[in-house]
Amino acid sequence: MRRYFVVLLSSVLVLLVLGLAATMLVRRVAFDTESLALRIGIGIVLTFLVLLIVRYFVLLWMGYLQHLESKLEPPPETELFTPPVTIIVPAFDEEAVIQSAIRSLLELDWPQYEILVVDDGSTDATYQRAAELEGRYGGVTVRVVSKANAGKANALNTGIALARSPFVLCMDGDSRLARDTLRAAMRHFTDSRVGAVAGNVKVVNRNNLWTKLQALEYIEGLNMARRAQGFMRVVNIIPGPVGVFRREALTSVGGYDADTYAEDADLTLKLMTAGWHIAYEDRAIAWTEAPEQLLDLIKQRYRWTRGILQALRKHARFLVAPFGGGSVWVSLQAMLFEAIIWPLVNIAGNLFFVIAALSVGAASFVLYWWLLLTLLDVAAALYTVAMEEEDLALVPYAVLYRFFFIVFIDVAKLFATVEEFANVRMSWGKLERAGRI
Amino acid sequence: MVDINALLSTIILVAFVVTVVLAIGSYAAYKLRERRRPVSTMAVEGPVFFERFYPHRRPSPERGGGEPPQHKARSVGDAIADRDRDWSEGAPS
Repeated sequence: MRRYFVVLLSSVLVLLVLGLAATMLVRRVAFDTESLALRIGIGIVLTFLVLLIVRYFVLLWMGYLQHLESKLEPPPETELFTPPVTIIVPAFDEEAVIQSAIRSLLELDWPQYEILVVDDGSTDATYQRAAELEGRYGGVTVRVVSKANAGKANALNTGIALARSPFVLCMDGDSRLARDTLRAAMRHFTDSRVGAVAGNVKVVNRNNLWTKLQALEYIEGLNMARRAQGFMRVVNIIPGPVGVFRREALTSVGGYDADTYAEDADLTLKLMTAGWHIAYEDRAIAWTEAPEQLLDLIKQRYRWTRGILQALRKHARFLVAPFGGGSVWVSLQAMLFEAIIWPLVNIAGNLFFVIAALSVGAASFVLYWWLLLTLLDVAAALYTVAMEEEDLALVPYAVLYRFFFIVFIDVAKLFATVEEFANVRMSWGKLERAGRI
Repeated sequence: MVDINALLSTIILVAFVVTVVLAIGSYAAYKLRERRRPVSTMAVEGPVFFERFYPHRRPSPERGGGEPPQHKARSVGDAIADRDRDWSEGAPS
């Protein structure tokens, strides 16, 4: 623990130094040119830098506050709060893994829960394999139902309708939960305003460059943002692989809708705008398989981006004015920023800098620019990896993060945004999984 | 004598521009691949979205509903009945 504290502290110091260095660098370039066009370009670069550093500081600082809060000793009544929970496992053509998935769920640390497998009209023997494990195992009941194929949202709604518990955990059929997931997540529900708890998704198949970079991205990008939002209890996406819900909250908003490609983001916005608080729990861990091939990764991000934009469009009135409260409005703005504005700014900022540096004959600044941003990413990676007590071997991949990995992601996001606004038709498709879990 | 600073800057610059080009190329390849995917032979009748789910109970033989089909997956109606049972009764038989 002491090691992690030192890393956290040093990361904060590095961030401060970097902020100072960035300011000095841009000031020097800005005052060395008299061209108006260049001054505008440098202004854009400066804006990008300020946004980048402010974004990092806000996310890391709020994330750190959430981290401190999560380490506090829970009140004694939390230990006595052990209501039954229904775990809904939607499954489509998962015959190879469904039994191991159920067996792993039987190991969870919680006194009373049921595992409800919803076979979404599989074309293989998923139902038969799951049904072989139906029955009662101590405090755990396994039930299996089968229905016509109608997609994940429909399968989850079926599960919610059939759940016998006041709390439900929705997950993906191909994810695995950590043993402490329920124990960690359920304590948040002692607060009656909390309608849902978002869990912490981690990449399980860290076997090539792309999946290692995604593992880092989940920690440094996705989970850190969620952690920061969790401090304000306005998490704007409860991830599909692990979300725990108060059943009453789910039924009050009508469950999942199937009119967007990001049903988890859409449901989260429905809950948030209905006034429910949404917490984040970093120990409620779901291990998921990340795309191993570049084109599958692009496909996933394309779908996420369009789905998020569709969900935002559905709830656009909450973007315009703070009907649901100030924090909800800020959270929605952050969602819009991350989905559209940030990818554009990220690519444009880097390109502008390169053009500006070359135009004033200061190509050597490209090196400083790269060093500056890479150091910033490495510091943020250290900070977040330490906070999650994750594998420190992931940190060196931060060198490739901004100028390599994120470029691919942001380009896919940009095209997805353009196509969403142009109403280009898209299909759902099923991501190719390697079956590593 | 080669200025190391300028050399590294050039490498970074070229690498970044190549990455942007590769990213755009990858996106184009993805779109091309998706376009070439075979269309599913399973015809979808009616809209997939906004399909409301109506749970129903399986008719009992006494009411003239006939024998339930053998070796069939547990229906949603059965599951509703299970749900409505008291939790303490345990697993469905």
